[in-house]
Amino acid sequence: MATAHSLPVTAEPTTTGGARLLILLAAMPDEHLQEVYAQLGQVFSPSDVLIAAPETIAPSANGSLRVITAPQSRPSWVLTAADFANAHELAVAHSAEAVLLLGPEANTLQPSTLTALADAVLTAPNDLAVPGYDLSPRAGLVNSAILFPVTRALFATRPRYPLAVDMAFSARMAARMANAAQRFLRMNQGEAQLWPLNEAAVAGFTVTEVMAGPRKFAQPADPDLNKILPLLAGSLFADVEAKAAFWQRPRQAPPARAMQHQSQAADGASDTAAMMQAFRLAYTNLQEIWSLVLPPNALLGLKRLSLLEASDFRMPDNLWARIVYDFLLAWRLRTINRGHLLGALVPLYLAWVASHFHTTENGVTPEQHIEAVAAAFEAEKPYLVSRWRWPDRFNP
Amino acid sequence: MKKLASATDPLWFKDAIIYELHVRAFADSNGDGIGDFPGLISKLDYLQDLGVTCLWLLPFFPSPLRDDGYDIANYTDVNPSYGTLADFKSFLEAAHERNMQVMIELVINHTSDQHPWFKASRLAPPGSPQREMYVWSDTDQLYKDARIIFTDTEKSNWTWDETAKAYYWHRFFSHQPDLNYDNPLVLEEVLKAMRFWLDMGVDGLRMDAIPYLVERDGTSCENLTETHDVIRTIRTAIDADYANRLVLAEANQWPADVRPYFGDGDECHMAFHFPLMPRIYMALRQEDRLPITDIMAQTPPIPDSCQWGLFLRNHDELTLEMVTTDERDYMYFAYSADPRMRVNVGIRRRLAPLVDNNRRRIELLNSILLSFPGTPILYYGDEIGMGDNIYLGDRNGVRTPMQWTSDRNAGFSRCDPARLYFPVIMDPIYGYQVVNVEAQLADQSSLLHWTRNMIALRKLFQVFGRGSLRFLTPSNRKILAYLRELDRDDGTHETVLCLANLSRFAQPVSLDLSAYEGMEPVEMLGYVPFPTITKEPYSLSLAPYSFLWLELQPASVISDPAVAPALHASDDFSQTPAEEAFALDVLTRGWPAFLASHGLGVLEDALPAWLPRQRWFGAKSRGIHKARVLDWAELPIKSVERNAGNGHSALFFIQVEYADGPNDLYQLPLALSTGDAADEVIATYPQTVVTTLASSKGPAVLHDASVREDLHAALLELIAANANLKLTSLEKPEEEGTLEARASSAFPIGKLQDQLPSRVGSAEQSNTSILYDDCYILKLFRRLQQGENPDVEIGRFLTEEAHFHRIPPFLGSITVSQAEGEASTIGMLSGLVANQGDGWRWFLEQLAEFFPAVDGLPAPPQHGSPSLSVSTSTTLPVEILAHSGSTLQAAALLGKRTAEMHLALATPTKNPAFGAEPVTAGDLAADAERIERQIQSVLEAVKAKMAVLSDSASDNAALLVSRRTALLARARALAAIPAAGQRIRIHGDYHLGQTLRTADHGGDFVLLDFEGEPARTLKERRRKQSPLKDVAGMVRSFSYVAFSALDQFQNTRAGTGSGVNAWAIAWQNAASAAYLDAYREAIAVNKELLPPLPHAAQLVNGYILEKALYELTYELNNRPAWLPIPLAGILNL
Repeated sequence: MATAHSLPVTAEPTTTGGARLLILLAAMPDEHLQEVYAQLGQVFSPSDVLIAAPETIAPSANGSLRVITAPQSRPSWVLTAADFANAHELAVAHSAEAVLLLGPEANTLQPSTLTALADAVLTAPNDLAVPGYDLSPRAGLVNSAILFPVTRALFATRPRYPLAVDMAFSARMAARMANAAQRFLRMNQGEAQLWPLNEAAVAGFTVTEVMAGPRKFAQPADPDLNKILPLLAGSLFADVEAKAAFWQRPRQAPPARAMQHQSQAADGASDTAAMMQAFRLAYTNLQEIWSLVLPPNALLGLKRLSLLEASDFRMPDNLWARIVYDFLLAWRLRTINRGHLLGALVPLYLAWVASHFHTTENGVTPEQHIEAVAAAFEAEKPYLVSRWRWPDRFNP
Repeated sequence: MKKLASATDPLWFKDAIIYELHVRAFADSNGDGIGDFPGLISKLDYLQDLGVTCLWLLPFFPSPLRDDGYDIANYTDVNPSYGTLADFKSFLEAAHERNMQVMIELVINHTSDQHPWFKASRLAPPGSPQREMYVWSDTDQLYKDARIIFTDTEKSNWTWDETAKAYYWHRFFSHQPDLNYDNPLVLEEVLKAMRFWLDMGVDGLRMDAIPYLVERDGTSCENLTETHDVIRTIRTAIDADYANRLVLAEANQWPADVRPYFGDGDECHMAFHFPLMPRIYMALRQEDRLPITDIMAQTPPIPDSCQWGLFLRNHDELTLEMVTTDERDYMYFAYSADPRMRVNVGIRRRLAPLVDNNRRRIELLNSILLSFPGTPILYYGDEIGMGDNIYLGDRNGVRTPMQWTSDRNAGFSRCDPARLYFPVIMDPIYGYQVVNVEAQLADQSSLLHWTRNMIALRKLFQVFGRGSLRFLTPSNRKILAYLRELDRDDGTHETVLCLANLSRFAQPVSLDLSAYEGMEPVEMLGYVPFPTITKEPYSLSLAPYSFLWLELQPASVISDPAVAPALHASDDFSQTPAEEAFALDVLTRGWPAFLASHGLGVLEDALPAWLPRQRWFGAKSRGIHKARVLDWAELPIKSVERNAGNGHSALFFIQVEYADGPNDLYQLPLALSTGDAADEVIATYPQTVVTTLASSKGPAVLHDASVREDLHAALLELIAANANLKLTSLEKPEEEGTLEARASSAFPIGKLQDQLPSRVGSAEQSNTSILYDDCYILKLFRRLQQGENPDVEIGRFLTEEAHFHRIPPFLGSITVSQAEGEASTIGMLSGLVANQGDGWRWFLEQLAEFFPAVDGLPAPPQHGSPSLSVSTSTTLPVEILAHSGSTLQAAALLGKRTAEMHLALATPTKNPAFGAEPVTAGDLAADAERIERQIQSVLEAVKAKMAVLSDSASDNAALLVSRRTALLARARALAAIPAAGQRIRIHGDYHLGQTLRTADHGGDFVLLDFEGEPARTLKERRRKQSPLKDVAGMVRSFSYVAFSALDQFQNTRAGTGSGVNAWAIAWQNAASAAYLDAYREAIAVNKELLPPLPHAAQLVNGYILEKALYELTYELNNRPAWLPIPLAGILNL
């Protein structure tokens, strides 16, 4: 372990020497920042790393760490285009070989995760290392239901969290992400999300997943599902559309993940009644919109689902996969206003969550079910490709 | 301030979908009945949704509009009817925001007679710069060879001007005087206008009427050198100050004449392919693909940075300038029943009316447009099937307002209908009430939706914009079938098979796709997998006017992902840790560990698909059943150290088992590269990649190691050291073979202290040559046979015993021996001889000057079979001598060198492999029997392939099959010749490609490659034979080179006279005669070697037949396009 020795905090990045690893920290409270400094001081040699934080607060216990001021970006609960642009700019300015981006609440990460992420890009020939978090069975379900299976099926990537808030990447990956960020920055949309796994896949870069322990996450300012789901799904759908020429080429599906976090079903039965009620209400009210988006078979599946007793409420995995793909297609075709479209997906998502909870309360672990869902998305990929290429509404 | 271009890729135009529109005709925002820029801006979302990526605007400059804006009165402003400069800038910005590029017109051949330059010119004194802005003359007799283009309206290219008291020149309308590019001021002003728009951010310029810029008396005033100088100056100015811009040439010429407008990539980026368009319509009406395949065969290759512009219709008439008179008449009959449909030399109709509004025909033509090599250009309104109005004058019938809705004025304008610049289409079939955007957007099955889907599909596959084209030749000529292929920058490969049924009825088709055996066609519109391709003909049925786009995908990857190799370097993270392990084995524990784990299986599974794609693989037409690694040897570590970070190279010996017939043994050097080396292999030598594996060091590429310098160095060191290596057998590990490298007495010991730079040569076909600087060449034999390779054996004899100096010195060899059986030669090292290229290339270059010189001349007299010269000296026709340059002297010199080679090979020796032996009656009978068998087998092969032969070859092939009896009689006659002469070791595969042209003695030849015909067994190749077999080989080669040069000439020059074919035959015979005369004189030193001359002539004829039959087999399997040459060779006997 490195011995701490003090270095003055510099305000101007250019006056600080280079470093192998640039660590860019998200905005976070002072006490969290000090905890992160302490962890970084434990695991990294000060000469190897350069820390960039939005506010220059000197490490109280590890004065030897070099800290510079990162450009201000709007605080966010996920990494944004501005974060990636800043990371690249700083990495170039300080000739860093790699970048470690740490999101809000990074103080709850285990130190071993920090080193594993850094090692994955510094000592192994990976361009991107993302953590596989160990979350509670009822957390991150938008990711489990949509982001992860879509990303995995279309881009053949293995990591479980495509929108991880911590990650390490190589200098060339930083450049690629910065390039992707520029598209949004030019339109003054610095808070937009980027999809590093997709970028890496298109670039032919090497990706690895680092098993991380539990972590706390910052919550969005407005934790309303009706806003979060459209925001994330819309961002992913836009990226999928932009990269259509890539993911439509034949590719091997990735192998099943080695599920290191064999989380068990949550204690106690979940209250799914409200979710099912929301779905049934939407089944009555949103029929008109759904029928613009979904083909007859899917509508029939939803009708059957709406008629099931609560105890039998299960949404078939392939039905869910096709629903998401049909919404993705309608998003591309602008079949209806995109905001309304993604709003109409929310009650279907709630139905999936209720179904997921019921499934996992009956002997199937959450990870097993999510793996099965992801496999269904892979199996249904030809359905998406065929509809994407010939989006005739006259289909089964 | 200068704005950047909106595109970031310099070759953006290759992937573009261009949409041609007229601002006037698109949308009217202010209700004056004329379209304008605000109206166009309001429709940009529609265009973005349609999927087009580049908008081409017809002229929108101030103009009296007597030629729809092509008569420009001010280059740097916007016609007030269409808006203002500010409106144009808003439009440009809005288009760029939608990722659409913008191309405008640069009409620089002429201006309006209302342009201030012309007004000033009329008044300016003769000789002044203002006057000389245009082309003036006191007489109208200048430039009389220039044709009149607008034949309907103009009687002369000169018009008298009363004010100037002189004639002014105009290639188009008389109100469009031509600018005078002999005045430097003109180019200066044109460049200023160009910069005005490029500075604003305009992405492309369409250069109108580009062939006519400069005039010279006594010429057609088209395509002149001086015109190209002007274009190059413009391009240089653009490249100097602007990035990612496009110049598109409008040159309505034959492809060969358009080709110069690309220059060496330093003139125009794009040019329209005018002659293709009418031929697509002709093919459709005739239900025959020939018009299309013919014109594409006449289309020369263009620089990689350039692109053809393809279109079905545009704002002008369907031009019939680039067709023959008969074709023009046919087109008029087929597509313009009403004479009002004709204008100038063409047909003024839109796409839908041309094909009788048949939806399937429209779709078929669009499928061809979107899948042919080039950038497709759509004309506004054709995406909804708009009609035309033949009662409007000039070409205005196809320039009517865009039909947006069924409302008043088709939604184009809110004005009083009488105020419209042209009336909207109102007939019952194409009227705006029926055909409009609004209705078609609402109709999911509309042509608009279809077009949008097809554009989106094309954009998913870069191969359409950037890939190569190869036509297939199914016997059913109603089917147009072609392959598009592309090696993408990311290392992946795209192959698309396109089929179009040109008939109004359903059609069957059978395709020879055996080269793609194992691939799975996936129908691209619906992502529907079709049956896997086998070596058998692939049969399909196509509905009337239907088309199919099939992407050929490797079926094994989908069906068996557990063992199949990754498609792509980036797939590495999709593999399991267990799969990563065996890649790591090579890097850390070497090849034994790799082979002991899954590596052997991966390699052997990958080889059946990989081997047929290698140039050196000989059995491309045979289905591979299995490929097995028999033995291998790892190369010494000393050399590998020079390529640190990568695995050792090793030589593998692969047994290839076929579905039927005997096995083959191949040599395959392999290496595993990672990191930058892997990237380089994927980028530079993608065809060498056997498979890609994951490893902890990133993607690991298992590839043919012949591209790696460390392998080259290792092999050279082996020879220098006379080294022996152990050969490991996988089948019988207890039986070790050996690899022996040996240097000859001529090897330059002591000169190999430093590693020489090395590279793989590109000329070899059956083997792989490694070139060490300018010093040595190591030939790696790919298909191995037991016994010493004749190349090594003869090279050693000629160097060390006969001291024959007209060959490259033999320096050493490498052989492998198994525990049992004879040794096999796997490599031969020779000295490199300074040369000017091989004899084939040299003769081709010489003949490139011959055909232009004789084109149009009367056919020369023919003087019989070339083999006659064996027995008597020949007087060559003076007509040939006058035009053949030094080629006939060179042929004679080659005859002398050939005789010297045979005399050297007949050098008395104790070596039983070389001593001369008398020819016996048994030998002649064996020759006759061998040729007879060959005739039978070749004719059977021709019959089997008859269905897939090209149209041009199938007639001669049928004729050949019908002459079976005569051919057999000719072969049998050899047995009746009295036995005389000697058998010696000969070259065995003698042709111009086996000679090098050298500069010594004012031009000489060196003879090389004594390996013999690779398709024959080693025993056959080492057999002593009549030297006349070599002589026959060279005579055939003169035939090949003559017709290849003729083919090249005809590809670059449309409309050559039929007499050139007779000149090709005459040259071939003259060259053969010169060669044989010289041979006969030189060989006379050894009177024992040949039989009496009349018999020698008969033998030569027999051997020529045998050689041509061999060529026929080779071309059938490898280069069907070359079949006509051996076919003609045999038939001419």
